[in-house]
Amino acid sequence: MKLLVPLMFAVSLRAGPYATAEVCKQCHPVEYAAQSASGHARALRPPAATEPEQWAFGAGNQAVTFVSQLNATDYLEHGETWYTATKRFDTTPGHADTRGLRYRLFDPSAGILRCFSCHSTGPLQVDGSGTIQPHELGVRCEDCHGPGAEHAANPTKVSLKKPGEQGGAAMNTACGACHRVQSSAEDGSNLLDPWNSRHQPLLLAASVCFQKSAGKLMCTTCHSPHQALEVRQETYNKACLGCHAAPKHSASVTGRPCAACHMPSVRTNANLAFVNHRIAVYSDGDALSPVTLAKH
Amino acid sequence: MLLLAAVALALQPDPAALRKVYEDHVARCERDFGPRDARTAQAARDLGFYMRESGDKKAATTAFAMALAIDQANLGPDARQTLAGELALASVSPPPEAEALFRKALTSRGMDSTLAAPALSALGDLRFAAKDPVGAAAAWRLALQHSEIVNGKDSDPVAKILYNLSQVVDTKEAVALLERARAIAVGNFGPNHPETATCEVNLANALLHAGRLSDAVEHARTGLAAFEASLGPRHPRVSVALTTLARALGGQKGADRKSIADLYRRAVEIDRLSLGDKDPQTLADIRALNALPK
Repeated sequence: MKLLVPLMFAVSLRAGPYATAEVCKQCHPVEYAAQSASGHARALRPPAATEPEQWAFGAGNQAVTFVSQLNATDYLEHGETWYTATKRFDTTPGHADTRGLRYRLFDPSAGILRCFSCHSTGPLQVDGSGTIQPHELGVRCEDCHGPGAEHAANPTKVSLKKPGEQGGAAMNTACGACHRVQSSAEDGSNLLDPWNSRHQPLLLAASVCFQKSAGKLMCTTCHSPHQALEVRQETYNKACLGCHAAPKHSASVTGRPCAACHMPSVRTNANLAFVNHRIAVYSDGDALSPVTLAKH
Repeated sequence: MLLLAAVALALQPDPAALRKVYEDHVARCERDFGPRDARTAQAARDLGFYMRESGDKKAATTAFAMALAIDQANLGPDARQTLAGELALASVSPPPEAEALFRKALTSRGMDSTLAAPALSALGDLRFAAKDPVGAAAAWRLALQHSEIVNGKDSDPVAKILYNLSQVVDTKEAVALLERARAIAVGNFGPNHPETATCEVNLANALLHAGRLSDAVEHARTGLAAFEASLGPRHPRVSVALTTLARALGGQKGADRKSIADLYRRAVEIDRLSLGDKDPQTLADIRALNALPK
């Protein structure tokens, strides 16, 4: 008999004294400027004057969801999210209706704390009135490179992590701490669930490309960590051709980017779509089920 | 019998990063409200549940014990909150202490089905781990009754108990229990879901033991296809489904040795990739492959 109950946790990048991106900027102005323009840097902000809520989650590339503190023990994730593509408010992803979801601040799964943890950099603090105080808004330098205060004070003697040198699996785990990754080899997440299309490391890990690349294929193969999200398909095509120099196709694919067929867009609701990072061959009518699975 | 437990989900991001927030909250409540205040108990309980979810039983035990002591003093031994606290403490305690806490709470006059269902289920787990199938079956049967009341007859917690119970009853009853668990999974998750696939493979194994080979083949094939689609073709559960199918096919008259060997080879390949060369499952599947008639 065999019991499969996987639980494994990502390696912590959050220990020791943090600086801020402003400190990093002093020596790394180019990276700072580029990263500041990225969606990561804008992942959490106070609301604009026209937005009545307390916190705005999301850079707005796809959507912005609002969160407010209700009292000393509870937060509200508002039930209406702003969707950029459709330019309208509609039901927040994962919500059944527009009434909003109430989170107890210290619930067992740390629901709201995890939201802030992933959308900010450095340690969170909660004051006596239950107000969450992020160290730095948005996903900035030290989220990937680790606490930087000691490096900033003594750059020649204290080095920071370089995630790109750790290989694909380690990077997938690091990025997956927020974007979600399989918890272990035995993780049972349903890859056919459209909701999981927003969990890119999870699906990438299930790709034969990733599994056979021996650590070569990693998030940064396609996505520059210091730049805004690339939108030109040629850049992604170039990444594919880095391994598949002369791909064979059974039908004409002239003019079609690789991702159109091998990483199709999956719609999670009327307003949101995500690229399926489970790289495979898909039929036109089904963006989730690879047609390349073995038959019995 | 080869059975698969329910699918678990990851807990992310790194729990250690948030632990301090919970600990600071306990310290603040102690300082502001006093060490015997209900708000301090709640903060300790929150820390305990968070640490339990994070897999740190030792830290959870300390926090739950602190909350329980406050509740016992403030509310009395039979209060529902006190009983819930005992069950929480039991859930992270070593088996002897855990069993004593479960049994004590279950005999309290404040006990209700909502508390009793998970407590009896956990008690069954302890008896099962202690190699006491009779005791496990007794606890799980009671857990089933309470869970049906609280969660409904077609709920996921009921399906989980049906699976547990199937491990300690005779083959005929096991098949019936797993058929019911499968029907619940199909109804709640649909056919192409890892939970449903798990039920299909579990049922296939029970049918295999019951000698119903063609039925076992059918469910193993269904489970295999659902696992491949929903988890990917190199997932360890695909390996389990492959070997189940291989064993069911191998038991049939006129079995095709080559196709059965191919199933085992695929299973071994997955085992090696996902579990390693020396994992017991890898070694067992290699032995099964080598034992096939030449």
